[in-house]
Amino acid sequence: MSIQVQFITRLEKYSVPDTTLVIPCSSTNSQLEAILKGLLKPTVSSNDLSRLSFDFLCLNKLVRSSLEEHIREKDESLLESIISIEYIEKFQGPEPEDVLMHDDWVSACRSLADSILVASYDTKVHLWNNQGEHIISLPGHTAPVRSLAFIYSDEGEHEFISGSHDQTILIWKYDQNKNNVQSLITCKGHQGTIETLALQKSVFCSGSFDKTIKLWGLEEEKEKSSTKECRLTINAHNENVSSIGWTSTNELVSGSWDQTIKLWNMDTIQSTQTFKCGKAVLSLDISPVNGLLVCGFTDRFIRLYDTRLQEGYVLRSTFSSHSQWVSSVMWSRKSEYLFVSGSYDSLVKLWDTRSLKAPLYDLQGHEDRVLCVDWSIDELILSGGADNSLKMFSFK
Amino acid sequence: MTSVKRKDSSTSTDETDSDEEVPSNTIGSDIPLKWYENHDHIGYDLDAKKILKPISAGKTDDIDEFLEKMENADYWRTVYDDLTGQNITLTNEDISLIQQVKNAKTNPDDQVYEPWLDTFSSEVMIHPIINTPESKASFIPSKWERLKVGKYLHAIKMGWIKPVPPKEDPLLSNNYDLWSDEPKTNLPRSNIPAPKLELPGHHESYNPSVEYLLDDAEVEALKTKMESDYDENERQTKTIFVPKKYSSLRQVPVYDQFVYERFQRCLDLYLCPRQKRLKANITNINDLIPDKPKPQDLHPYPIVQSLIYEGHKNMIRCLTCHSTGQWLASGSDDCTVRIWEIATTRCMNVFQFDKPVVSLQWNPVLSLLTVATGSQILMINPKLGENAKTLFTEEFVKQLSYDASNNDDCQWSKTSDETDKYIRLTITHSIPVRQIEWQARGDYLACVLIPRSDQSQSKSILIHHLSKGRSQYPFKQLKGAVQNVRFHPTKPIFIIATQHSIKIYHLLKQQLIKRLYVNTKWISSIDIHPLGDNILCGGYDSKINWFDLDLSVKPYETYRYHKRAVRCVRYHTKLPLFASTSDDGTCIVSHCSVYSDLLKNPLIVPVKILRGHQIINDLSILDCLFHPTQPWIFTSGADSTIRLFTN
Repeated sequence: MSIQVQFITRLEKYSVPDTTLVIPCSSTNSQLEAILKGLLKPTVSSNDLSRLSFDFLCLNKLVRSSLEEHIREKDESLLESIISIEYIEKFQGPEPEDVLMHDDWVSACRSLADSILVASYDTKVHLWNNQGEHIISLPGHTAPVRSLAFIYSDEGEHEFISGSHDQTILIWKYDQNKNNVQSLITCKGHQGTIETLALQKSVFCSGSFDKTIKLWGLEEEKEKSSTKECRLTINAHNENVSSIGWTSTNELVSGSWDQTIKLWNMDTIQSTQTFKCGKAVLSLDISPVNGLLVCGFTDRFIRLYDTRLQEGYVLRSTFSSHSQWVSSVMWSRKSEYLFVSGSYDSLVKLWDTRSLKAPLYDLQGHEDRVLCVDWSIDELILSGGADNSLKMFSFK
Repeated sequence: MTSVKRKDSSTSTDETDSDEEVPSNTIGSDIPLKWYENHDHIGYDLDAKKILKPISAGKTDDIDEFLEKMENADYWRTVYDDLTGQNITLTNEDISLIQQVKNAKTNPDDQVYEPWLDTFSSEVMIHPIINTPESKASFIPSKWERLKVGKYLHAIKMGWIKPVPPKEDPLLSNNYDLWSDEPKTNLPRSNIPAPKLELPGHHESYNPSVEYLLDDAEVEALKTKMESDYDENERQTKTIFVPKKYSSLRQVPVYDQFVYERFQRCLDLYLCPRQKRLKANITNINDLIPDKPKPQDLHPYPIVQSLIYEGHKNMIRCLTCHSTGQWLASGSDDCTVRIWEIATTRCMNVFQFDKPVVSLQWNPVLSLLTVATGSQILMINPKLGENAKTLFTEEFVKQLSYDASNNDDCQWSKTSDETDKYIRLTITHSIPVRQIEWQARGDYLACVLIPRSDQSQSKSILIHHLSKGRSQYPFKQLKGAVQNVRFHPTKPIFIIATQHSIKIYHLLKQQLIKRLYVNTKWISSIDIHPLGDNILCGGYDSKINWFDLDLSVKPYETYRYHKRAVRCVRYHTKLPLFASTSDDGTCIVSHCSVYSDLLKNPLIVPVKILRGHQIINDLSILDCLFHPTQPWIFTSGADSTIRLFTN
């Protein structure tokens, strides 16, 4: 059986005439690529061709099986008509770059500019540079540190916040050149372990096991006190608030073990929307590009929500490939399709939202559960886990 | 079949002699009936329509005749009238008249010689009384009659007058189908006698004439005929009879197949049931399955193994979960208690003791993890969870006062912050502890001890009052070794499970409320439903009993789904779930909806079998515990791991 296809692209360099081709139904990615390269031969030099690699989008989904199966999944009747296949340049998979070893489990990591911040179960916050050199370990908490947020990092001056099992949040100011902590403010108020932090310009929110979300200000107090009170408290959920994030300057989204995701208007402190998910939420992240919400669950799935829809079909898609709890997810800061996820099955996966069944790449290397992933800088994917290591992957 | 009473017909003919009577004869008495034999009518009526012969009369068949004979008492005096075609039942007068005629007698009532009365004289009078000549008008046809007839004629022509519609034949209307409303049945006739056997002929005689005897060729022919006529199965039931000649009956041998056939018959009867088995008529096999909802409709409940907590070096006997659902504590035979972070399986703390840990439980109110090891009960403040609670607990223990007098049975002692970072309170007994159980308010701690053989069983339950620092034996007498105790979640009620029975005591009234009859041989563990009306009881003989306290003291349901001894039964505190673990390496989760409506029985559906633990020395899963809020279950096993199953 054969099928009529048309190759289209947005890459001007590698455009082909829009003739209709008849190719066998059973064509897979590699066969499509061979056909396309045959078409490109007159215009592109053979050196370039051998270096290039393409990925194919059919019906807005990446082709991962044979073309026939791919189309059948969507709509069988389409097999009769002319199918347009968009091809995009295949980007290279993330390359493992470095492994930073710690004394204890790595529970959170963040990168900003050329610094990497790591929270660990050894109660310290570790600062590294992106060359893999350890700068300093900062003791301050009395219990394992669970969450981090970078405020700014510039020319050796770092400002960040860290939340811990000891029920406090610390706001750090560290000067690398002078090698001292310039100020350390303790935020007290939570009655449970701090599970998550979300930063937004001059304020940040914290989610805790005491079922509340607290809003804190970052501005410096007049009399240089070392403790800080929260601005407001939301009794948000019935259980552990496991993950929060800002969708806009005044809207917060929170996921909890009580199997709900809630949207909060931070001006009125009202819950504007509640989604029931049926499973405990472990992690969530909002794409800065398209505003979609991606969530990791205890039932091994990653789900993509569109929170901007007031009602109707909020769940966009479900990604199934992990075999354990999805402990952490993070969007790419640049691409609207890419995100990474880390799971207790000791794998980090790089996903394209157009491919539901299989991830683009599996980032292997961890020997135990992955507890955190980070993709704050586009070129660098970080993942830390219960094998005490922080893995760095470069991404082009 | 109709019969007209003679009397009626005679009177009617008397009264309306000229009137038309439908079944009456119109052909005239001088026309022989024979002429109408081949027609289905007799004569014509006024409208020149054929008068149909009555169907029944005179043409009855034999069955009708017979039935009539049987049923009609007047049959003997009923005769058929050829002229009218009817049956006539003779009256008594008729019969006596006939008898008189037959016997040539006169009626004794008749006066044969009556005096003659000459009413109208036959003698012609010379002077008639009226002698007017007949009028002229009597010879002229009537004018009025002519006009009248003319009117009728006109009406007939115009179609105003129509011929009389034919009357419905009362004979026909009386006929109906006798069997019409009888339901059709395929039932066989109750008794159809078998056809009689043919009497034996000469050839079957023991001494037949020579001509009946067969020679070899004939026997052979008979055999080939038999083979060609019958197939394999039929041939087994048929035998070839070959006549044989014996000079006397004495020489006739016994039937040579007799013993063999008797033996075959005995074999047939050998396993035959004596009683007729009652077969249930089950057409659909699904009817046998009780009508319970499908497990898919009863979500959420634990389905898959998610996390494994590794670290213990020996079998894990007991589990307890912090009320927030963040921390899990486990006690093991390697003499340690470990505290785990549930979400990450991180072991947060390890406490080492001298003896294996047999039981542990978190205080429901204070931040005190209570551990039973050897003959000691230790209260540990693990400094997890709410800071305020931790500090309050520290303060509470500091201000705690207790009876420090040297008691033989139990000895309280505080441990200060300096000597030990975590252990706050120690209660030392003289005998080993089996189980501890906090009351829901966290003030009373029930403690099951294993008394020495020279001590009475009443020493096996001790209740510690934490805030007052006192201990007491609540029972003066106790029968049977105590296995397990539980506090009622809301009321001051105490439940004790001994080896064979469960007793429920009211603590304030100090009396026995109920005694439950358990059908297990040895109770291993009990649990009480969070609403307090149902009790679950597992036994070492692999049975699980569900008691509904409102219903009866006997088990509401008994489950035998485990293959080996049941170790632990637990209810979920929030969701309608319970679980049981067994030595066969399985943990079975069941859905149990309990209704506040007394009329509605609890709905119990086993939904999931969880496996994962290895079986070591015939022990597998020793304890199980539901997460306080999530539909998750922890199981601890002899393979020194704790496993978390999630939905």
